[in-house]
Amino acid sequence: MASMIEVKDLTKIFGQRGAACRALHEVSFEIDMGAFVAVMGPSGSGKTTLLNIISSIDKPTKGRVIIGGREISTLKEKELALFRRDMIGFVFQEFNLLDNMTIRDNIALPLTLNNKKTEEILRKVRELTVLFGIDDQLDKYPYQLSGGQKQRAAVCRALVNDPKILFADEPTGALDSKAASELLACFQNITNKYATTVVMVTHDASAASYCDRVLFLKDGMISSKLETNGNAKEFFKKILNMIALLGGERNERL
Amino acid sequence: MSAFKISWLLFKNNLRLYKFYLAVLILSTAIYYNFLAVNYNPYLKVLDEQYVFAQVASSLCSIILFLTVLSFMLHANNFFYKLRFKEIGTYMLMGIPCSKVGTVFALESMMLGGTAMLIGLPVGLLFSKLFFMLLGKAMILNIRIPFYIPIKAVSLLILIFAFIILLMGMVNYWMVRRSKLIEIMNASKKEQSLPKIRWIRGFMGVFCILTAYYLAVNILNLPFDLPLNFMETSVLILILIIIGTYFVFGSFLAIILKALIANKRVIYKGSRLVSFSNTLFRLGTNYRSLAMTAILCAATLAAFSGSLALKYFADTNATVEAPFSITYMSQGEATNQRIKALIQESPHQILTEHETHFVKGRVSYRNGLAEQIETCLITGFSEVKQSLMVTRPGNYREIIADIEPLDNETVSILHANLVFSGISYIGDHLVIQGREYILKKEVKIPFIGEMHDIGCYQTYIVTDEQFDELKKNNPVMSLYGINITDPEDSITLVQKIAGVMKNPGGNLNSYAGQFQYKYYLIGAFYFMGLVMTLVFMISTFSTLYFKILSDAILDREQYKILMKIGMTEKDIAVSIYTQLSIAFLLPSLLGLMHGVMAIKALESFIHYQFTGCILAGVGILILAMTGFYVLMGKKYKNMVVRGWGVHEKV
Repeated sequence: MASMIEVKDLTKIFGQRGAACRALHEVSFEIDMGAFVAVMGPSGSGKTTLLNIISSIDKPTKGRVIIGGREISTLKEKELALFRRDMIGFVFQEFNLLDNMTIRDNIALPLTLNNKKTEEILRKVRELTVLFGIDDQLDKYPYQLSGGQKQRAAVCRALVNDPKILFADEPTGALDSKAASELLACFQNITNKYATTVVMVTHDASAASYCDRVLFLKDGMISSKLETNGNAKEFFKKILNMIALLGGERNERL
Repeated sequence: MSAFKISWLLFKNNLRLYKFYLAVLILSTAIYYNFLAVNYNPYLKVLDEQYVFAQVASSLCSIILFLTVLSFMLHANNFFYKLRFKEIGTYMLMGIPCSKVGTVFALESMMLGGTAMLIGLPVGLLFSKLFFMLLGKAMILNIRIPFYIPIKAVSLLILIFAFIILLMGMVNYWMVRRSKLIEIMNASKKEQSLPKIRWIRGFMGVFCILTAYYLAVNILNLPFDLPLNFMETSVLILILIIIGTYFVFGSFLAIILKALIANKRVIYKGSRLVSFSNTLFRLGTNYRSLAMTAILCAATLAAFSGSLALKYFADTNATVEAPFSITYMSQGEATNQRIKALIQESPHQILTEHETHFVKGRVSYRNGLAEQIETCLITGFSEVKQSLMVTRPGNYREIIADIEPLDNETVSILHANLVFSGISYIGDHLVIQGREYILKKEVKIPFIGEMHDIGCYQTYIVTDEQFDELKKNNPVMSLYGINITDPEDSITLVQKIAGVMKNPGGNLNSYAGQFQYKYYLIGAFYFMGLVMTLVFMISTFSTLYFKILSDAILDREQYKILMKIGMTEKDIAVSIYTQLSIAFLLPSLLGLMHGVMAIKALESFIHYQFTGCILAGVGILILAMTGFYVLMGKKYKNMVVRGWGVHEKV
């Protein structure tokens, strides 16, 4: 399968010389189109830094990120904004829905900024919310929804302009286990239905077990990778073992 | 470290944040000092009657200024408190007791006020030279006012500001004492909820404003024969406008915005969705300052156009009161010759001469329930027409076309002494010398002017045929009007003419005398009105400034989210300008409308048209507002995209 994301020798150093902190050290990997990949690792291992760089929010000190055949580190600020708008969707732990808009308007927002036709926007919102089972919540405001519903609305917003890649930073972090498993099932659903690539940072082994592949980060480097054989239960056990191997305890918030 | 030292450090560090606020306070202090100084200047006291006008004007202005400054300071203070909310939380987390944090903040605000006074007072003192020079010029005072520092005014200013500063300190202490740590920590997580849609209130607001406008335009002909006099109607209009404005911004705007947001075809275009939703949600807390902006804006326009109108009135009314350079009642051919000889001896030259005729009569009309009978003057249409062709007031051709009466009609020329009148009799039936007429119009035009013995009577215009009839049975009176060169400087000549006339006090009038007298009266109000315009404009702008920047602080988080989902800096700019134009132009426009209506009411009150003054006022305000709008947009965008600096530090 064609690769969607290529990361080559990525290094990120924070701070000035003398007090420099190396957050990432020569990280390289590839992610295929339509893959569902989790990034795991203990606190301070560089997960969020990695996600920020490959999603174009931050710039690397060294190395290259190629998304859909385009090298993003060479893009100018304005091109980057447009690139983000067309190629990438984001989901955050804190939902980041705007309190002052209905769910319908929240989801429609990225398309209205692109000046799409009203009918097309409404059709797209309808299609996605049916898929995610929140089509009866469209006229409510975020404060009237449960955490799981809010997060599904946030995913709908991230997907509304058909991004090629969806980045999720701890998307299940604020959800209970039932809402979390519903959301992850949705992610699996969209990788199959729209061939969207999903990259998710998580602490949660059970969340990671929904993925096709898990990358483990430690001290800014990729320490190992795991791939599923299709059996989620077995994959979950493998992930737990790997966490134990990496030195963490089972219950540690990695 | 003592509370005082900490406050001093904070004050120095935050000076950048305070600079605009400080500048406005310094300017207000300087202007306030000058208003006070008018009351205590011994060089002005020698002016007697004119001084009273200046005193009344300045006292009025200083009271309005005091209230505006106070409300502005409370507004700004609230803004700084919000901006530094987290800072207070940090101090509390560090274990500093609430009372000490409160003391620090109170001291800091008192230092700010103190600095404003320490700089503002000297600025005001320097400025006073210019202020008194301009005041003197506006009142045409022929004296030099030397530089003088009235100790009483200075100490009064210090006393008043000490009170304000102390009050601000107490307010700050109280606000910090009242804040709870948990609220500060959760401040950013606090969820906003949609403002309640109140249909009745919303439409009541519109109804109030429309009613007020209707009353203002028809202030002399109230509908349904409302039993209200002019003052009562004005107060009613003012109350309706204030209530209406608050309801319109509190509820009607919410109804409109909600309807717009429900219409996806309108709202799903560019960044409209963001701007409209933001405005709707903020309305719950913002409507008060929107309404206040509208009212301040109306006050600015009313003060400015009103001042211009007063000046215009004084200029044109001088010709109404003195239609010719010299006007006198005919006292026989011998006196006429002596007067002409006197003029020829003087440096002035005769430009035109004119003679007007009229007869004295009786008019009766209904005033409420009672029948009123008065002495009046009666003249023919051609007499007025010829007189107007000589005096030529601005729109004399239109006037002539307007005032020609039919057989059963009459037009009344309001007597020149009348400055304000609260009643109109247009359309009523009157009986003049036993014959019934309908009053077609009431006009204020140069005809007889101010003439002590007969100037207090209304003049009624009838057709030439009827006037010829009247002349047969009544003694005809003649009024001579002479126009000369340099009428403003003809006081000496006028005094000489008075010497050759019988009872000159009752029978002689001159432009020179009227012109100067009017300016004593109106000059003071004109000048103070212009200064008040400046004050109102500054208050309007600074109220808006702090309101808009408080919004920017709240919007920062939201725009961060929007940038993450692919909003470019340009999109943000568009969204901010749309949002500003709703939150800024709406109150300004409504305020302008209010102001225009106020001047319209003044028009019918003084029987004058002030279209030029209104246009000038509206034009200048719109220019100033547009400039301010663009500046605010830039500042807002910078705050949202780059931050304020201070905010991040904590």
